[in-house]
Amino acid sequence: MSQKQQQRREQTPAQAAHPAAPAPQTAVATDHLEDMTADLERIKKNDQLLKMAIAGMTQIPALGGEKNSAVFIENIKQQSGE
Amino acid sequence: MRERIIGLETEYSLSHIPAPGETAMPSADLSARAIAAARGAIGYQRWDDSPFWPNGGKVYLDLGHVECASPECRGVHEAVLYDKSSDRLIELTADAVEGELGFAPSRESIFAAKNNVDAHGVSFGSHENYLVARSTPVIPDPEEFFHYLARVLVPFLVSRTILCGSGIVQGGFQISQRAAYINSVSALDTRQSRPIINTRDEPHADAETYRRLHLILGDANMAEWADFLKLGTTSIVLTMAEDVFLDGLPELQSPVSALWAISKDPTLKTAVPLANGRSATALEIQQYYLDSARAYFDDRGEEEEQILERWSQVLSELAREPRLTVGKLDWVTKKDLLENQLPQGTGWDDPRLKALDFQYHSLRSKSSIYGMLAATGLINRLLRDEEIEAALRKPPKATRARVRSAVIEYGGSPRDWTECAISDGPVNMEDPFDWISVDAMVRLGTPPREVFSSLAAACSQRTVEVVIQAVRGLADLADHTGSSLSTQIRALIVSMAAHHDRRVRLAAIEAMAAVGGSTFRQPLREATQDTDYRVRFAAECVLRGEP
Repeated sequence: MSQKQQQRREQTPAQAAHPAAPAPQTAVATDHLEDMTADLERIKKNDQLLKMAIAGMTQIPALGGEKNSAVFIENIKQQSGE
Repeated sequence: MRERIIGLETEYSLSHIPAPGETAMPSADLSARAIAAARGAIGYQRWDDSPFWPNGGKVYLDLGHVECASPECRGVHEAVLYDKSSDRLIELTADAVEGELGFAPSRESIFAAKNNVDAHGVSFGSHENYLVARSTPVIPDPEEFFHYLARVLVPFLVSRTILCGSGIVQGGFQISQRAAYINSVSALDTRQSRPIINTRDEPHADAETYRRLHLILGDANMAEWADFLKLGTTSIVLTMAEDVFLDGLPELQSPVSALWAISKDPTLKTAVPLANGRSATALEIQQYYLDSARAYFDDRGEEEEQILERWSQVLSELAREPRLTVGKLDWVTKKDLLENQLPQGTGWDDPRLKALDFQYHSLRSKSSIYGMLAATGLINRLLRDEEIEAALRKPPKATRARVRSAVIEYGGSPRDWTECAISDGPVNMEDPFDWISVDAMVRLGTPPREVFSSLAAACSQRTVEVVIQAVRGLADLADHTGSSLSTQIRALIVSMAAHHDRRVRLAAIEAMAAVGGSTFRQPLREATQDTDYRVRFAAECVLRGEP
């Protein structure tokens, strides 16, 4: 793990959102930009995977329309246990 | 890592989706059929109707629900494994019941799910159990200690929702399925007044030493990361509480209202009022506990390291952009999926979204959205399918569930969590950590060589507590065996006297004292030169014939 990654891991979320370390402004900006780029890449990849999964879901009642969904839901009926 | 026994009780939802125009079979009837079919589903045959299972867990009908109680697990990873194996059992059982009822696949089906709320607003449970200390040297009074434990836990449990909520479409999107049904801070009841802290006191163990903390507020998790974080972070906070480590707690002004408010805000921006007049978001409260844990655990075991690392990672991601936890946290994964499917111009009250919400939790391979997301690679897994499959039949490695499982295998019958019956009398299992009962094994007719092999294998495990029990088991086994095995037992005890952990060396010296005989004189003399004064003292006592 790089030193930078280690530092990031040890940051609190509040620090991550508002870096408090008095580092040179350019270094913070570059680091923040790298983080944002990596985050965006991951979100984009997840989005693609999600779309692939949805495309494969041919048997899901909800994808068969509003009426089918309503009928399906009506049948999900349990007793409380605990 | 402080050893902790963890167990889960999960109520599964089974519904008949009938052919168009036909009436659905009541879910209670379907659940009863499932209980009858469950053993056959994994090829487990048994002469009696004991609800206990070959893996040491329990499967039974509870007020119209199929309920699976996991065996006693040692640590978090193992608890998640047995939770997922229960899910797999329900999947196999639903397949079996559908076959028995002769359903035409395209016309009717069984919807089997792991969630907490049905379509009519009825909630059902997924309870967590943690073995905790009854009291501590700092707070010796059990009631006072439980009061402290509850005080430490409440802000943690309320804010933990953002890690382990499984998400629900209910008047918009909420993070937690159970939150809206929790209406008191602490109570004995689990049905009318559902509390954050359940005060039920049934330890299923030595009541002088232990208490079983029974939590009913958590959601049932599909995602392995969420399940791991739910159990892992709670276990860590309990350890800190047992050592009375936490102070300056972010106590909540109104815990139940805070739980509801946090659950209703997927943006995570809601700040809830604290007792000190300030306010804090769930993320900030969680950060307090994480920072405390980092300060507390300077010497971390492997599992603690994993928990702290994943906890830190997820909190950091939630703070930056919640969507970074897609595949790890159920509520975020589900919300992202539903938002991708939200038809333009419609809102959260669209029945298609509610149907997708249910299907996320389906355990049937053909209709499980979670399963499809996992197959696509979107879900971050922690377990392998093969180990989940094996856990259907095999008990955890080092808890009393292993004794129960052996009793079942050899024709005995568990009576409850702490006792089994075999032909010549009961087997007491008060200690949940006690994974081997040499006495019971011998009485069941297990060949001593087989028992010795189990103990020898355990002696090389990394968990010190497991090794200590194995060494004690060797001393017990020495009473039951002939001369050839006796030599091997003695040799193994002697080798354990050179173990790197002083607690194991002490156990080996105790075993030498119990077994007796001149063969131990030399190793005992060597132990009097040990680097640890306790080991030296114990060896000298044994050599002098003192207790």
